[in-house]
Amino acid sequence: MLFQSLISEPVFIFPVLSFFLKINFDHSLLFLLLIFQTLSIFSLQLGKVSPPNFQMGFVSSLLTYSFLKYPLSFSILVGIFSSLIFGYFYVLKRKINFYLSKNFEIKLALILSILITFFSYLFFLLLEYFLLKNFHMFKIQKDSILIISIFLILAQIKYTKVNKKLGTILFFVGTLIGLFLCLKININFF
Amino acid sequence: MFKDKHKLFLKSLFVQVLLNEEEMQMPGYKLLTNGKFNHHINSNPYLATIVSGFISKVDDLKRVEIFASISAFIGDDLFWNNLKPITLMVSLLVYIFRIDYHFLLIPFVLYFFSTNTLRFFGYDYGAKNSETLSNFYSSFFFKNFRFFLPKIKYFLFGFFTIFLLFLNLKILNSIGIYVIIFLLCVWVNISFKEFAYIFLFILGVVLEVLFKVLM
Repeated sequence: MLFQSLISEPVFIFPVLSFFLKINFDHSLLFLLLIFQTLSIFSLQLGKVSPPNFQMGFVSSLLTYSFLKYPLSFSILVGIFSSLIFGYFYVLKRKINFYLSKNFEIKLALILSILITFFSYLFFLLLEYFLLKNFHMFKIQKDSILIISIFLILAQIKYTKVNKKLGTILFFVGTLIGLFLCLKININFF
Repeated sequence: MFKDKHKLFLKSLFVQVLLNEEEMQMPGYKLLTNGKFNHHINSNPYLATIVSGFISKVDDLKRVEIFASISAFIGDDLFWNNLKPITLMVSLLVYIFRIDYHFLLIPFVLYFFSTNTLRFFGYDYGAKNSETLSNFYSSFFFKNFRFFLPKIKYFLFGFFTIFLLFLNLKILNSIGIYVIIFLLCVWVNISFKEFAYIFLFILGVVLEVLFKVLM
């Protein structure tokens, strides 16, 4: 949260970080970035305003794609799923914040809140790393996105549910161009 | 003076940390105004120093509440509907036309300097113009841009939806049983809503045990 306040969301700052940290920034990473930038901007239309979810989604996608070497499509789906999980965490965090601000001094509550956020994010990423590295079902599916993707259906449904705020014509133009691009895209790229 | 500005700038970074539904940003503003302000408030975190400058000069709580809401509107317009879509468009241009990746630095620099300049000089601006700031929104020059820039997100969301469909079709093409599981998941999601995750957890455990036995 502090990082977001000072600079910007990881999903927007990552290209810059990649230059300084000498991470090989390629077209696949840019595609990943585009998906999460779209979601981050669209979060107002998706119901609750919760951009931190998509920061977390992007970071876990990055972990899956860059460090665990899973396919891009699988990484995107994992990221979307993580975003959904962190949506619930964000709601819980607000309740914890209320408890902290009522029962502690402001400065102490602030420190505790930052620590809770930091360690919960870290715990989630470590858990994800552990699951993807050690679970049998993830191991055998490493070169494809088949069965594992069922875990990510719920998240997909959640984020493609649209409401009245949606600009219909532009949305359909987007779907048409998307359809054209998906048909043209080299399937092995993902 | 410079030291005070620095201190305020650093404090303004924490304005959103203790955000909660009952008090909104009240704990953050309590810290920012050294305990002077102690009421329910919701503003845009990037404009926090302007609001605290306004609070330092105005004692009328009603006026503070209205101004905080106005700043939240402006924040949405400026950052959600203008600056973020610009960043997205730059990424899109780089992706489509295969422009050098360093081009992505431009929106970042724009984002970084605009938000932090606002934070750094906001307090003085808010305190100096507390009488005229009620007209802040009507004189807001970014208002003209909001008609076309935010629309890009609808277009991209259309693309995003079709891309997810494409991924699912790719999976369906590879494995038949996925259709059954997909329909089951959709049904569980509609019927049980938030509790669908319990089903997901059970499914995960069953699959893990199954794979362990089979291997």
